[in-house]
Amino acid sequence: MTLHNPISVFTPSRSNPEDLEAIMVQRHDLLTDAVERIEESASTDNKHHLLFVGPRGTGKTHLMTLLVHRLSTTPNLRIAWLNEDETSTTLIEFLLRIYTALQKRYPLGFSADDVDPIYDLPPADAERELIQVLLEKLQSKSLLVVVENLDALFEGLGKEGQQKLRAFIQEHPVLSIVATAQRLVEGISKRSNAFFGFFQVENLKPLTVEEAAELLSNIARHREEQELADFIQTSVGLSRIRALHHLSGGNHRIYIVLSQFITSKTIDLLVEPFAKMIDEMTPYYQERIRWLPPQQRKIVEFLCNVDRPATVKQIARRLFTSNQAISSQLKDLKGKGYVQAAQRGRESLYEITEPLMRICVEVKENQNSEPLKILVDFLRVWYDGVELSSLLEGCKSSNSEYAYLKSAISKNEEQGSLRVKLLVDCFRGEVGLSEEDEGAQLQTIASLALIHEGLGLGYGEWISGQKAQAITLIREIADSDKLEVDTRAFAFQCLSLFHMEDVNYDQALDVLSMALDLPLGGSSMESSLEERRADCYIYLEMNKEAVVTLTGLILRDDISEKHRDEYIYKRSEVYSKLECTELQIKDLTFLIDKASTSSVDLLSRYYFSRGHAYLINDENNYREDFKNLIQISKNEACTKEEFGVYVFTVLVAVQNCAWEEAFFILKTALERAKSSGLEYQVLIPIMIKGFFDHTGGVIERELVVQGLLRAYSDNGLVLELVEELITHLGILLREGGCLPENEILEGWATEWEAALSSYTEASISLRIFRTGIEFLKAGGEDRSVLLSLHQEERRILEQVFQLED
Amino acid sequence: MKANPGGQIDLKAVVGRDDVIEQIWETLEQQSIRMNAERRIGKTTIIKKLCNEPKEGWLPIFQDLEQYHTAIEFAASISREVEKHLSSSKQAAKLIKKFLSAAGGTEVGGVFKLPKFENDTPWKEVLCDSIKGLVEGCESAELRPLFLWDEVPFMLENIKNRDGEQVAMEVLDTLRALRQTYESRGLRMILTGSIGLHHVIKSLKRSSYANAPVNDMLTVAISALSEESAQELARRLIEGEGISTEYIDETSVAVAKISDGFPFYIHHIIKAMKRSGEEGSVELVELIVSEQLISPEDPWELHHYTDRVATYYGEEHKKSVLGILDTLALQSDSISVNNILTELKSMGILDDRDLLIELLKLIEQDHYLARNNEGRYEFQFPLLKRWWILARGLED
Repeated sequence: MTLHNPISVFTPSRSNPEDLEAIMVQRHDLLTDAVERIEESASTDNKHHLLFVGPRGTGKTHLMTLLVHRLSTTPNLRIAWLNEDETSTTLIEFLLRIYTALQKRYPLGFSADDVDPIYDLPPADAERELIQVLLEKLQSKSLLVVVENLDALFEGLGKEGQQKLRAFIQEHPVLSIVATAQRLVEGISKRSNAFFGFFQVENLKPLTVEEAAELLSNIARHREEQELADFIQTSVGLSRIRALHHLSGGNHRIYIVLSQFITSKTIDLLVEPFAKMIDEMTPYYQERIRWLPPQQRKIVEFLCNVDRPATVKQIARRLFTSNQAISSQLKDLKGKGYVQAAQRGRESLYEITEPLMRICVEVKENQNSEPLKILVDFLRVWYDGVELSSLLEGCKSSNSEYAYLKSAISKNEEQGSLRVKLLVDCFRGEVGLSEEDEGAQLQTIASLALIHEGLGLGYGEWISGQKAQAITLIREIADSDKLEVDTRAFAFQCLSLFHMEDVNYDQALDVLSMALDLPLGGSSMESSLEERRADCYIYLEMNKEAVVTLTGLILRDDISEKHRDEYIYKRSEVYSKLECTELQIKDLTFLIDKASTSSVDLLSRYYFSRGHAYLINDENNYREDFKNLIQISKNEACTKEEFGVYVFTVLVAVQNCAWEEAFFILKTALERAKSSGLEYQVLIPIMIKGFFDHTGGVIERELVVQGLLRAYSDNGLVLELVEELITHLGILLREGGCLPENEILEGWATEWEAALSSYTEASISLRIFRTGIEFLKAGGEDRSVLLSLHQEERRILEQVFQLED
Repeated sequence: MKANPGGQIDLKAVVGRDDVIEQIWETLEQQSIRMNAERRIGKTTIIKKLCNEPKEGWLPIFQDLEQYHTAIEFAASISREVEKHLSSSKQAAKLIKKFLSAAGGTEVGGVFKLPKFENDTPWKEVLCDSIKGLVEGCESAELRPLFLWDEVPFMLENIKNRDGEQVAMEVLDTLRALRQTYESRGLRMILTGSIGLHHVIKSLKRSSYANAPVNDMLTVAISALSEESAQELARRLIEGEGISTEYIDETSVAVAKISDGFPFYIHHIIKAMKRSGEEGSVELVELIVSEQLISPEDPWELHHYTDRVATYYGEEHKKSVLGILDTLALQSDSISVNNILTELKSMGILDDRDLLIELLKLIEQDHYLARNNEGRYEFQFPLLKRWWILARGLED
């Protein structure tokens, strides 16, 4: 392979075929298949006619060049590759083009002198004469006619010319046609027309991201830039290409132009060919749009000018028309190949099919000396902010490069990093979360991507479920000694989070140790890592190590007071696990004394924890703490700690048979929880259990039931009460030991049925409760008892009793 | 042999047409033929094979007539064919000489230069004299001339557009007259085309053309390949494409069945199998057909069956025809005329029994439907029915 031969952007036919072979992607099978068919056409009377359809820039000429190259030595075959810029309006003109092409390729076999006499004949005679000369010169060989822009040829020939051409082919079965077209034209697609069904049609597809990456890699390799070729195939490289893909739409030609820039890093090599490409194509696209009905034209122009695909609603809004009208026009435009649709959930998003059309229209709309937007966007994708600034510094202000770099930097400042934006877009919708949660995750991707693209990408892969890929990618970043220490530390931290999420705390610790071995120089990163390590120790119940780590953090000078208080609180929790109650109380006392009275949430937490610690230590101080907690909370929303205190207080009252006190506190607790929207239900079954356990005889039971019902009904929570009664049945089964006696269970159920008899809305729940009671009375094993319920109701009890399927 | 949907088939490799070709030769002993068949069934391949492998005693002349747009162009082409096929026959020489003097051509040194046919040269005379010359020349060589004319309706349409309906009618009548004059002396014609000749004649009838210009010809219907032949074709193509499969028999059977024996669809399916790169199997065949039937690119060109309804039957009958076909598509079995009428009446589409019968006849001629011995109608091709249901959104 010759080194550094340029790949001709606009005329692949001028490139070295071996070079084109080396860089080809996606179409190996297609090309091999086409070659085999033409070889068969050459050696038998089975004549194939092939048509490759694709918009501008999809690599048709590249394909033709390789096809002709591979067939050039096929025996018994003559190839006439027609000049795509010429046109024919009659059969004779077309045949002359064929002859001329054969003359160029086979000068000895096809001489201009042999056809000269026909110019003196009338057209019809000349046509017949030329056919005879052509057939004679072919000497029984087969003829392959390669025609680009078949649509233009058919347009030129018109119906009559097409019919004559087809008749010629039918009457002289010596030729195969391989053609390209930008779209299927009427001559091929309409059944009443001559060439309908004549060709084997292949619709050329745009490149996928992976194929685009392969193409650019191949080109880089061709230019002996192995490092670049390898980089493109990495996850980060692919992510970069994915971002470019958004701009290029998978168009071959755009990628070939980009490749020149990517391999040489010279912006001029980007600007000039792009400008030339746009100059060449704009008249064609203008023409295509001009012939559209007015509203369709407006839709196309709108879509050319927006940054991303648009919904029917968005288009209708901007064009001041109805959704129905737009839908109908879009259907037509889709049929004509102007637009394509993609699904996002239940809605369809529309965009222009041909990226080159979009680019050309946009350029035409913004006719001034401003840098081309798409090229500025390419720079924003390919380079990060630091790289752009560095390039700008090394550039003279008089260069066109300077203008582009400056524009890229300004755009990033105004609109944010495009690379990050496109990276985030890749993961939008793939994360499978609620809209709110997705928003938070995508923000994390963006934030990480600003530190390092690979971090954002890796995190995105992780939340999309590609865990192994995510770990590999982030690990590469963490291990890379070419990167800044902070970036590597972030990578280690990400890894530790991944491991912790997967409940691999040992691995998380290993990774954190590696991170802390980096020369972090006492940075804030170090404290983040230590905190993460402390969390791992806590999860692994390595409590002593956790205390040491947290103490180390508490003593640091470079942390905020808020963080310090968090560490102290965490340490107090660990002291609780170590049963070092005094140390726990000491930490909590420090926090309580320090906390501002306005920090109700924090104080609630501290008072609750200390109160709990006092309780464990059999110290009466707990009452004071709980009282303080209730006091400071009264003007604020109820916290779970506050509710926990209420539950505790209720249980204490129940133990002391202080029923009225218990009901009053319960009512207050429910009122507070309901008004604050607190999810308190997890604590209630414990409380119900407390009432149940201390309920002695029938009278007491009636008292308890009435009291509980009053407390709940005063808060409009009767249905919730019955649900909690049902949940409590699960606790009765699971807490181990013996089930309550049947008499007690029956009494409990009967009492509740009587109390709730007037609450019709609770009847279904009551039925489920009763069945639950019967199940427990039958020993808590016989599932047939549940069959008295419908399936959905049965499922509730199966969940409560944790019965396996 | 590789799959070649739409292309020109190697005539030596044609499968399953020996019987019909034999039938055609037998028929030609008695009369000319009008070949009637759905598009893509292989009419052109058959007549080309007839031309390439003629029985002894015949001189076949194949022409694709769509290239001719005027009656004189057509007549001139016949004249040139005569010139080509007759050597130094005196009859031919006399004929040419006559034309030379009539049309102002030049004879130079014993080399005949073909006359220039201007548009006012009487085309009928050219045509009739050419045929006469051919017949006479063939007689002396103990041959019978056989014209194999493809795309006749396109030519008639072209002539109608350029020369006018009157001339188109006269072309048909002249050909008929020539057949009647020279049939006993061996002249035969086979007429065929992609659109039904009956449509062209019908459109001429609207201009008060009352003749029946082809009623002297036997209509030979070209049917789809027999099951056996379709399987053989499928097998050969699978082998020709080098498609890997452990189930070539089952796969060939599946292809033959699902394609309704249409060579065009068989070629398409095999090509798609090759392009898929997968192992050949019954499941792959079904998958490919399902994909091709709903593909927006319509690779099998089936949308023509809906698109052509207005053209063939007129806007005024479009709704009725679509209604008839929708009704039949939803039947699991054949259905009587009365039941069709009941259905259409209930939908408010059609309540004229006579019109229904007329339309059914035309639709049958266009190969949508077949009529069984009990006079009940159903879709002729299950594949078309399947596609019709999808295309018209008739599925549940």
